[in-house]
Amino acid sequence: MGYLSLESHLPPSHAPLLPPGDYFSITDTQASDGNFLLHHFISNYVKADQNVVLVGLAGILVHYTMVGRKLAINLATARTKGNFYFVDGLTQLTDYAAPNKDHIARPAEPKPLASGPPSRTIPAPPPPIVLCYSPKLADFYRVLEDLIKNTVSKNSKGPTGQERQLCLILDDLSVLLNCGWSCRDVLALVRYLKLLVSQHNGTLITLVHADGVMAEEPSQDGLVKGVLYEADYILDVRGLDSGGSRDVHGQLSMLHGPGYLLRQRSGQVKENEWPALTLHYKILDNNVEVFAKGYSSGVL
Amino acid sequence: MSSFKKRVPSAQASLPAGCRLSAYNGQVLISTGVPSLDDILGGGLPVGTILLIQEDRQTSYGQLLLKYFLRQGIVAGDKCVVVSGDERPEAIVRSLMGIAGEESLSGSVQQGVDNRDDDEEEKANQRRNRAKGASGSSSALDDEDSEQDRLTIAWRYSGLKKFESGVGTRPPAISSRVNKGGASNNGSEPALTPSQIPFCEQFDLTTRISAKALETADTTLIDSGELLRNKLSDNDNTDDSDDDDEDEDNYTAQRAERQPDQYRNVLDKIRETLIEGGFSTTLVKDPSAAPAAATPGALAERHICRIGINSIASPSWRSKTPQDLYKFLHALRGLLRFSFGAAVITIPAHLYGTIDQRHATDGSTSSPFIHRLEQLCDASVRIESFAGALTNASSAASAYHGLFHVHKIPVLNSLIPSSTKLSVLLDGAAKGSGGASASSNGSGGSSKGVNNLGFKVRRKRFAIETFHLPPEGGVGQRRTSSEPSSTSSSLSDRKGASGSSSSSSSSSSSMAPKKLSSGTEGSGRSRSLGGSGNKGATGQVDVHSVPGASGVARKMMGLPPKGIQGAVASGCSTGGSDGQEHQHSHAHGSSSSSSQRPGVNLGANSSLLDF
Repeated sequence: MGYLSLESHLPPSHAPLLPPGDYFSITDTQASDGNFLLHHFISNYVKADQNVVLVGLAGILVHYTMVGRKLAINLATARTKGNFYFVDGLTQLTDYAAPNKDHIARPAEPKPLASGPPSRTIPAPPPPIVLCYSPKLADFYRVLEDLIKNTVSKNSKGPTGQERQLCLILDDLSVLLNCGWSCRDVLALVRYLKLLVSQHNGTLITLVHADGVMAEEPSQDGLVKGVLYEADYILDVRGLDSGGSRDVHGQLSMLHGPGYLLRQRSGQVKENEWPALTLHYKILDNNVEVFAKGYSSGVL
Repeated sequence: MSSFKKRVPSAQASLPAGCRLSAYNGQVLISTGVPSLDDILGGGLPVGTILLIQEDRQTSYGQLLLKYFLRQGIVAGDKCVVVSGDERPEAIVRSLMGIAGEESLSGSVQQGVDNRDDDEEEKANQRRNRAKGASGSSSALDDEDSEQDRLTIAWRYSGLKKFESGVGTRPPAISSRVNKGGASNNGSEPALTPSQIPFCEQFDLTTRISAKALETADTTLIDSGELLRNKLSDNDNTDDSDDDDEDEDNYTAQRAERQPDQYRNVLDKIRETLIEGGFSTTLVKDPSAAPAAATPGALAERHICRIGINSIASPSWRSKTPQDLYKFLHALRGLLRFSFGAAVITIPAHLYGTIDQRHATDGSTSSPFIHRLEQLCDASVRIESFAGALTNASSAASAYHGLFHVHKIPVLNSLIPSSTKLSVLLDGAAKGSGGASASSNGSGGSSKGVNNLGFKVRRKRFAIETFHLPPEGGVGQRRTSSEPSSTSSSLSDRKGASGSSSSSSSSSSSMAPKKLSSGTEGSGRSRSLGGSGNKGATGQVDVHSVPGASGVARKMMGLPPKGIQGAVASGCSTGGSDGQEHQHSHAHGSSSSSSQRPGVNLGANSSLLDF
């Protein structure tokens, strides 16, 4: 399970999972990294034996595996089972990194495995899919589309027979912008992915940096605004206005996206089911405490 | 099978030379060469990460840090890749500093092992001056130093740590090295086995690197300016041959097309070096060859590739598209994450500020360009030297050479950065000087940014310390002003001053500890009562005209020896006391660069209420 104290504040309709078909946008700032929220969702979905596709544009698999270990989930076994897919968007994303391809070592022959201890009967998880450089983001979309369709076709049914949910996570959208793709393209990718995921009973989660300084750049500002426009739910992570504190690491606002009111009217979501609110959080070694403003352990 | 495993020492021994494991998340760390910077990063720079140093204006402390990083790499026998556009990389390598205590071959004479730092000398001088000025008997003066250490305000604080603003350096094993060097006189580095190589060597800024060390150093120099010139001349040649009849527009378009991709060239070179040296874990020179079996012994022989890039994105770097540098950093990160390597990059960030930021002494808000770069790096620090400041804010803090801002610290394989657990400088809890009512560093950093940090460059080393302003007018002045009433030794005089009570009555010196303890232990209300009580009782002692300082804050300022200050500061755990601590700095620094931060103001207000 992810962070228990956060769980109660998320939309309850499908707890501990997120409502399928929705788009969760996480915005963070440099002073307060929103990465911890991703770990929450990953661990929740993996624990519940659902499908997760994680696109690591900034983080590497080792990072997520190590943190997963702290949250008591094993991503390596989830990968072997085919529940968890990691897409490497770091090593060969840009044209600068393209020559890396020529130097990648071929996967080792199974021979050395045989000489190893006999306990390693579990087959090694498949190597992560790599996003290779392409001038068009549409190619990335196709890679992800193939992967998701593949995943869903393979294990769409859960152990109890009901349809499995899917969670697609992009860990840093800002990287795409930084690496030269235009704001329009990135937003188009987000829209396409949102549609794709909702077709497969899934949820899309993206993280984007939204520092105040960045608003001066039109492209960066446009990305943040565009993402917020698309989002159904917004999780905004930022530092305290009053500065740093030992007991409060930052402020987490859970907000409705612009389409919420319409969906409420049309009866898709119940009224007052999930009120927007602002909380404070503190990150611990292997947990995150979320609490109401002013209720930190340092105050009480 | 038990999940508990005894950590065998062999696991430690198999680390590459000059590395250590992080105590928090088991990351392999290398030293930046500066112990205090290592501390801020959580023990050292994690292998596979990029540290961005935003350079200072008009001075070159940023480059100094880069040199420390490279020099430490040479000590550990690491591969050093030096990339520079403005200066020739050879010049940077040749101007590296020497090791403290090592006899420099270039002839600069260093008598013995002068381990004393300027700070200590200063202190000794101060003591000597004090001794001259004071009228007490000589025996009392001799006692003074030891007395100063033992002096406690109240017994309950005696167990607490001494107040320290910096990170202590580990006692270096210099003597043995000197002996060894004297005996064989052939450079100390090759003689050391990997386990003997110190994680962080002590360097001496007054000496240069020895020729011997330079010879043995494994360096790759990349002159980015040279790369650019070569490419340009190549292009010119080809242009001349086939572009003669083309019209002007087409010509310029082609020029743009052919403009060399400087960042790409540098990255290609770095990748080449990483692959050639076998530093990468995923990329190999010849993909078809069978991968070498990893043995634990091989790890110990392994070295780290240190990449130092001097003044990236300075005017001598050409970029084809605005995204070049972002792509460069992203690709470098992807490369390093799977390599035994780490990079330190300095950037003249002040060139990229907007107009109003360029003149701000506290340019805590960086430009969007720099901000995006920081997103792509794992750690980011900014150096702000007083010499480059346009205001004369530095006069109040002459003990420091500048401010040190931490914008980002590496978070790898864990939810929180390891420095929140391990760092002494970043986390006020470890030391007792910071507090919950921390200054709001506009930049904050993913650490809580509790402390303001300053740096000092002494004769021998670069040190980052907690920034605090000295008492107004200096300690010496304050002492002499309280002189007349003192008939006994200076000890009781100081006690009286620390209690902020009159020294005319003999009982006050015994009263002082009680007052202070009651003032500091209780809640805010009891403290304010204690403070006002003091004020009423004394009324005559106060020496300084410090606007807006409460009685207790005066007391804090009047505390002369470090031991007492530490006891008081660390003894206070409630928020209110921290407010006072900040009041202390605020009252002095209201005209200085470090003031006017919301947190500080908050602290000041809370103690103003006590008035």
